[in-house]
Amino acid sequence: MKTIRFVFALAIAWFALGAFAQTPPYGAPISLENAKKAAAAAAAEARKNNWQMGIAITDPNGDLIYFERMDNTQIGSINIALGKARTAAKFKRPSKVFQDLLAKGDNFTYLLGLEGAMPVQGGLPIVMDGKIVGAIGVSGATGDQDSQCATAGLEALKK
Amino acid sequence: MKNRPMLTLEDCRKISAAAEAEAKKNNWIVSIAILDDGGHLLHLIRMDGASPFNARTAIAKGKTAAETRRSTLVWEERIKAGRNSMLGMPKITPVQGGLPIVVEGVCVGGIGASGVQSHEDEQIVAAGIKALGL
Repeated sequence: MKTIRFVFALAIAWFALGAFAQTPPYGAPISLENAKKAAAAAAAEARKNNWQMGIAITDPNGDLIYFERMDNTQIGSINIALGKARTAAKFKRPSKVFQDLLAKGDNFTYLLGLEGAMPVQGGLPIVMDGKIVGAIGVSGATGDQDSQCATAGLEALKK
Repeated sequence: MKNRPMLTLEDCRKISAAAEAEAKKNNWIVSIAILDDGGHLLHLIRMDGASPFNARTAIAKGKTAAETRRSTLVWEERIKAGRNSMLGMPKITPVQGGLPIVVEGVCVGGIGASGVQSHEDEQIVAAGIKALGL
């Protein structure tokens, strides 16, 4: 009985993550030019608000294509920015999805065991022409502020 | 109180752009990384077609140059000359293509490139440093 309940809980949890949303397929990696454009927009958003950020752009595999660190950004944000971008690329969804599910309670603590999933908002997949071409990760201020800058980066690619 | 020079993001962009231009001029596809004097990443580009391994190697070379305050070629040559025990030092990447960035006699960081032959990688990073106009 216990086992059945456990399997049931696991199924629900997996459903919540796996079928949370249909994710786009992976595509060819984002060009360096577009990566720079996205990072510049994210940095501009940060500068406007007087925030200091590390900004990472990865390919669909989560490997770095572009990185920049604004003056006086905390050193810890280097790997956090990269970790958020990697999470978004490798799991094909915003890193906030993990953060929100964890906040729901005990059913989701298993998410902490997923290799390479950083459950902190500020990482977003970059989708172009319906395909995931990479991800952007931003770190340096609060989660909401990091997300705001990452979103500004994505917006720049729509223009 | 002692003051020391530090690389700004603006400096990094300038260095990286010049290094990238040098690579493009020669039709080389590389990754270029700039790190601060503690070996922490400041700026990285991976040109279209360069591999994730190139990015990792560029970081490793730049980190070695920043932390040891020497060209990575120095380590390559010392080991080549038979000083194999150097390989037992705290993690270094003794492969040409990484240079320290020295301002007013102070090492403010390092830059590394990877993607073409080692001496060409060094040519790229040297062009980057030159853009600082020191």
